[in-house]
Amino acid sequence: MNIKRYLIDSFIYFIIPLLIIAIAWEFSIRSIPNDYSYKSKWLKDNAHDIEVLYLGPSTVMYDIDPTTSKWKGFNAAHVSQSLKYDHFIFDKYINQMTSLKQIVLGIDYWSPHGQMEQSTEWWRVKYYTIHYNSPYHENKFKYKYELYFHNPRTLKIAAQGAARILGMGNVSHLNVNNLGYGTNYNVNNKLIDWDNGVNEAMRHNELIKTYKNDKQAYEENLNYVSDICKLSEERGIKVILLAPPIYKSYTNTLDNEYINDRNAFCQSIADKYSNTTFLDLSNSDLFAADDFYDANHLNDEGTRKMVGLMDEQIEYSVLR
Amino acid sequence: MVINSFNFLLFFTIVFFVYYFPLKENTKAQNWLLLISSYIFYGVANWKMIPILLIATTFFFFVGKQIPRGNEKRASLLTSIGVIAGIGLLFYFKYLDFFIQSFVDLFNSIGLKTNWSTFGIIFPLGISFFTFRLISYVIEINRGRIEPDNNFITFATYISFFPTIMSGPIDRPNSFIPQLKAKRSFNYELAIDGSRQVLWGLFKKMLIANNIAQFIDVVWSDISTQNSPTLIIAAGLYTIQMYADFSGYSDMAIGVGKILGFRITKNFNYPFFATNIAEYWRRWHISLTSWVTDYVFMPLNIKFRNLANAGLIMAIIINMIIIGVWHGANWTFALFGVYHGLLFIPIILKGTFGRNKKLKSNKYGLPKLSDFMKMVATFSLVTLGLIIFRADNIAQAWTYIVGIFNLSNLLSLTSDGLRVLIPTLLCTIAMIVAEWKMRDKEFPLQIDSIISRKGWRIALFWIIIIVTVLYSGEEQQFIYFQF
Repeated sequence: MNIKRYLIDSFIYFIIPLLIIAIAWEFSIRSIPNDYSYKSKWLKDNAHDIEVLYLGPSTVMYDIDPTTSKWKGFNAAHVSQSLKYDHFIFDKYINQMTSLKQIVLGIDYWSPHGQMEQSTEWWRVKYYTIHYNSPYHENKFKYKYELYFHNPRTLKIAAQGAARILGMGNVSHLNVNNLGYGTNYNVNNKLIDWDNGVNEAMRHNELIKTYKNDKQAYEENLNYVSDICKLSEERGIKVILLAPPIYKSYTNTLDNEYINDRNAFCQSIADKYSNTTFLDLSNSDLFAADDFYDANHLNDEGTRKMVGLMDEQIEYSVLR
Repeated sequence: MVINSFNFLLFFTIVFFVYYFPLKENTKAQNWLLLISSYIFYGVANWKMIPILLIATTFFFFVGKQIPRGNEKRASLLTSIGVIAGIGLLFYFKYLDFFIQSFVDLFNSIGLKTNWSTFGIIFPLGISFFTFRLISYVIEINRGRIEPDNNFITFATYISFFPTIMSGPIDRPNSFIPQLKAKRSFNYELAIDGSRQVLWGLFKKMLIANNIAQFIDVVWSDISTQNSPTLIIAAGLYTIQMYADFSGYSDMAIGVGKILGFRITKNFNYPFFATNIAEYWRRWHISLTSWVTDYVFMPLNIKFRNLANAGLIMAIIINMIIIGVWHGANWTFALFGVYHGLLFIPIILKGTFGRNKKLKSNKYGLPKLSDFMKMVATFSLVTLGLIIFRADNIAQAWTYIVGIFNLSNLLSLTSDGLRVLIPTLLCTIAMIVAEWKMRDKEFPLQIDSIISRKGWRIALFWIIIIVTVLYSGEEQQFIYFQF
């Protein structure tokens, strides 16, 4: 009798309410559209139509707007997207992308060593599981459910999601345009503190330092990019490995060793695959201070310049 | 699989239902279940360590059985073999590499090059805890306090009991083995009490310890760049983190034990309310301190009794060094032990060692000012000791302590992150107030006497659950897993 009472008490007062809250929480947050849900759905529905696929981290997401390009393109980059997830998206949709001519893959300084799971951005991994059905972490709660990442701010988000489900609100976390370009970095709200570049580069120096000795991660990343290039070569698709434009306060602070590492990483792959070129815009004079939102992302003015440049490069690459 | 994880919740739910339904009141089968569950729990952490645990358990089981009654010489010999085997096990896995490296460093420093290399021995989780259980088993048999166990399953379950194998408390065989032999049916009151204790442990670990850890780790990652106020705050917070982390684990382990019908040894008794160091050690990691007191301090104290206070001081310093070194192979732990040993000297000379002070409240329900000042002084001394404990080496501890007394740049903090700790600090205050108010109870959520209405109690538990969920910090390993 006692055990029944214990179980009934536990279930009625705690377990059932907790389960209800947990499920409601998960569904509420998932109901809010975000960049991942939008891009995965767009790719699912329209992958066959793409001529150019842009992959990479935030430097690609905020630097290239396919709506202003003469090519039919889609920006599938996400903030802090590591090469593992670039490869995953490419691999998932490659068979659907029957019109694909060109891939532009952004490679930041941290990319050759980077693993999203090991970084402070680990909480983004779940979006690939939830929205792209990534198979990497099917059994890991923290990489699978919104629930794992919770704080007072997520309580508010869950409430907004619940309101959306009940038709009482319309909150959205969508920060990209219809072709996947990140729309929040523009001239009007650009950061004017250029020391930001120093801080950001210092942060990346520290980040890379923690990754650097992980030879396995480096090898894995090399394999991911090589695999993209190899499969593309077999299908007649060209690849540009892009070192995105960076403001000088960032470049000057970044450890030279990491710059050389990244360049060697890209060049070694470009040398190996005939369909692949390495385009280094990290020291380009084409971009002035006015073109940047912050030290490592362009604003909408800079993006226009960037798209013009990329269109030319793609034309050259595709016709090559 | 850690005790505050979703995986553990699933694991424990299965164990609970099998334990209380198909195996209800079948002690033998329940022990089998606990043993298998414990080895699964331990194996999930590192399955390669299972043979070590099994071999050690088997060896001590047979040594225990061989210890005869009435043949003191043979009993002492076998007990010594057991104790040496236990210490040897610890020495090999915990200290051997450290000693080799220390000798290499010593020889290198005097210009004698050696080609010795360490073995790269992997440290089995929980070894310090289960080894102390094994050693106490043979000693207790030799002392005639328990009979050698004839049932290997019971003995192996005592050694590997899953709630306590990783981080204690270190239960003694005399209190735990009889519980394993007794018929265990579900005890509603005990299970409710255990569930509340688990909740209190989760609150301390997930909310207080995990949040503070993030600040502490940043400060300790580069202490030379931190200013005095940052170092002082980080040192104080580390003391709180240690307590919340370790006592949080103990609460969860004891709570889980209660749900299964066991009364596990109490490990903490509100150490922040200690008014001197001697009292602090009677309130902190009680299962370890009482173990070392019984098996090390008491024999030494008898041996040195002719030396009066000097003998007592020597016994305590040795005792404290063993407690320090138990935590790991590093000179910092030895120094930590010496430091605490030295703190006992004024208490011994004053003649207040061993006195237990009953704390009283003033008319506002707060501690008396004189007691409060003593608590703050004790906390400060403990905090200073934990700087040595936390440091990677003695030089780093010294840098930290020197940094505290560097009185330039006193008006700001050199590490971000304290602002985000405000909710945690408020919860820490709430924890300390609750502990003060409920200091006569085993843990502060034993509130039936002050909140008689069930609805209000449930509301309070829900507040704790919600606050813990919303403000819990990033998952951190339990500090005591490394010991």
